[in-house]
Amino acid sequence: MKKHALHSVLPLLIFALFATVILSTLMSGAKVYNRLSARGGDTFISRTVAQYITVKIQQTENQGDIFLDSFGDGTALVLPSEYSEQEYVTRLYCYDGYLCELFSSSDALLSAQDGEKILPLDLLDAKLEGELLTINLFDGSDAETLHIYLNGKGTL
Amino acid sequence: MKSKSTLMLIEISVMLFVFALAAAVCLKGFSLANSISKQSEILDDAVIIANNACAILKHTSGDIDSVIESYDEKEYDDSFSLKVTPLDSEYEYLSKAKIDVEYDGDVVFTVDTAWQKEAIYEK
Repeated sequence: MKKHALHSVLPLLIFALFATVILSTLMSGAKVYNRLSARGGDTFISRTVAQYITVKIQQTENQGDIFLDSFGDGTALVLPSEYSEQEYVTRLYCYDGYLCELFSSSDALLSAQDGEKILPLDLLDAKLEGELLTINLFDGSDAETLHIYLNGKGTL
Repeated sequence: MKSKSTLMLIEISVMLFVFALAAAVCLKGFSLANSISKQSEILDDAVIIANNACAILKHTSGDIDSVIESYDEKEYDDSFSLKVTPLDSEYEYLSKAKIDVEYDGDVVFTVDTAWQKEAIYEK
């Protein structure tokens, strides 16, 4: 009788062990996924927005002096360029929770909402001291400070 | 009847063993993914720290104290540390330096930078 009881409990025990292994694997996978996703979100500014702005500046810095202007929800980076002897500017600024880009003729009267939304960003703040451009980026709890040396100003 | 139940028990045990093996492989994969993601985050931060140091070094014509001061002002992970080493330059009008970003004592990113000497630039 005792032996029979053991025989019926053993499959149950094995099933319980099986369920525990399944659950612990799933839980651990979910935990890792959650951690990776949180880490991806935390480094979003440093990876994507900062790289986008840096590359944009590097593309245009030799075509004219970069300057700052009040536009959108704060400061705008104004990157001048010249095509077919016509002067154009690319404005990078924050508007409505997004980093926006507006490419237009330098004398065009356009508003902040005319720009193209590029990436989510709460605030862009910039400061230009000689050749050193300092950009502060804020997105929720994430903040990043970038220092960019503008080579186009004449030094190596 | 008895042999049938024993057979079923063996079958379940084998299945459990195979699944446990698969679970162990999965766990190893999760751990690897976590470690790669952490390394990538450290490298991203290190690149930004080094880029910022390069920009300030060029702006101040090699003032290492300004670089360290600016680094200290920012709230980076305490495990990071920045080391700036002046290098000998083969050109008299150029200054060079090596920037090392360390994480927990290990160098994670290194970059050499050069800038024009101020005395030449003023001419």
